[in-house]
Amino acid sequence: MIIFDYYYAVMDSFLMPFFRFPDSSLPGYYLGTFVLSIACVIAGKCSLFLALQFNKNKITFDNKEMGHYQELSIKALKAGDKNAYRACNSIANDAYGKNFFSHIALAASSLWPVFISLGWMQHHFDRVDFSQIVSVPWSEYIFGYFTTFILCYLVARIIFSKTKIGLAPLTAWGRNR
Amino acid sequence: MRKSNKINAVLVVLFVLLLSLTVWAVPSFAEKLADAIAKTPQGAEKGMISPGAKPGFLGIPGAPEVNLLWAFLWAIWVGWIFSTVGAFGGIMAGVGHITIFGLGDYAKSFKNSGPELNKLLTDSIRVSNQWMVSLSAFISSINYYKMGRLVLPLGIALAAGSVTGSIIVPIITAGKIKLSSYIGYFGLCVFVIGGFLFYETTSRGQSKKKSAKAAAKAFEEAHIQLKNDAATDKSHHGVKITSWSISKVVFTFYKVEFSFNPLIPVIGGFFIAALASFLGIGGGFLFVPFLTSIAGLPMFLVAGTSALTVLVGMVVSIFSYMAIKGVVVYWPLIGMELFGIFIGSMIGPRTSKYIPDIWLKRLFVVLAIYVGIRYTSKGFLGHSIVPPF
Repeated sequence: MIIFDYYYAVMDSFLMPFFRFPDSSLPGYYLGTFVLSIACVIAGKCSLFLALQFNKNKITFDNKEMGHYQELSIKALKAGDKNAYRACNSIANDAYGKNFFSHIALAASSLWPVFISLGWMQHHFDRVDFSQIVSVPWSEYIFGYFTTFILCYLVARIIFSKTKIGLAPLTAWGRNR
Repeated sequence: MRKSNKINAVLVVLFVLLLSLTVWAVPSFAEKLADAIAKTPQGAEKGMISPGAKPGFLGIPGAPEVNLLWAFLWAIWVGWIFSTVGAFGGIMAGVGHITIFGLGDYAKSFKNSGPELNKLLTDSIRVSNQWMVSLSAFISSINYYKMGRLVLPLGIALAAGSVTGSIIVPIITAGKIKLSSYIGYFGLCVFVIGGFLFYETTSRGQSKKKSAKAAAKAFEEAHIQLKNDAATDKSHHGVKITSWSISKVVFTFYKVEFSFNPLIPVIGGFFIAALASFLGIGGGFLFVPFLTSIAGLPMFLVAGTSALTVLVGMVVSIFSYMAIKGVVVYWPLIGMELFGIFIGSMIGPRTSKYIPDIWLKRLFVVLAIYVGIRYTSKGFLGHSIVPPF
């Protein structure tokens, strides 16, 4: 995969200084992985913001339609109108289907950097024996590159969600709903 | 502790608990693949591994290098479908993995010479499909959970069936399914989904939707007063479980009583999760129609519960394949595909206003028939009965 060889070389030039900064390999591994996670979160947030901006009318319309018929189906139940309940429930069902698949697109826009980064981690660490460096104390269990990266990514995501920058795309989306 | 912090804490604990299971001392992904390669005859012929050849897919020497431009363009097509019609996108993602990127033909070449490698590559395709089409549950779950529309007994019943299906299928089938069998069953599933799409384009399917809209509109106009009543009446909001047993759960919502047999979501959850786990398609979007149509529950309540069930089922199934069974996934391909879906999803809403929904569905019905015939015949007969043969 020639294009990924080039891509990985570019990522190497950016990330390797962080992996090599501490003298010891284990802190260096975690520092570099955490920096990569932060880069993934930032790239994901930027592309999610773009996706929301481009699709806000459609997403807002789909959400409103689903919510409207959901509420209407409950009102129909309260009024004892079973036919209206089934009708509204069925329309809400269809709107849910559209909503579900638009969430796939939103998820893709947020998470694609994670898989590119996992590819980079796989390229560098797939054959590394982690048992000597990243193990659960007093046990025979080990963490691999996948687990350590995902844990770092979750931490980075939570930290970003607490900042104003992290909340900006979702706040803008919430205003448009 | 605020509700949003509680939700974050629960999600983090769930993820850490599930991911900590990957701390299993199993052979690394690379070892499983290396074993399969070692058992495959060496040479330059088809169905053999040439050790000195340039590594391709999954780092296998001599394997095809997926044309990333094709992968990106195909993923744009998939993203376009997700953002317009929706349901057919997962199938097209699967078609990409099986046919467009050449991975299916490569896996098939080891059918007789390297059956273990054939099955490992098939499992990799299956898990790649699952990653692609189950990611919506990640964002859906967060949104619906925040709304607090959760029926706990329903969630438990669904999760019990879903988790069981998501564990049993990978354990039973990983390393045992030949590519030909997989694409045969994939083709059958495509026929079923195509059948549903076709029904929606018929006059009966169309009239059913029209009469539902008319009934909803008539009710809304006749009962507009209810909007004001609901705004002032804050009592009896939320789900209240009245009684529960092995055969019946009764709860109220807005003073309206609902009941369901918990065995139905357990059985339904099992089969839907098993299908999603086996094929990599048809999981998430089936839960809500199943619960609203079969169990008669309001969509208002089942949407959030279903999204969470899909997420849990996805994590368990993928963990079962990857951590327990050592199935390998090629991350850069999935990353490139997700990027393509992101681009396609931005194009879709721009073009949908020029193409009526019904004509899109008719197009996908034709595609479903073609893909269904091709894969079913190729899988079960050994050759396709539609071109290219």
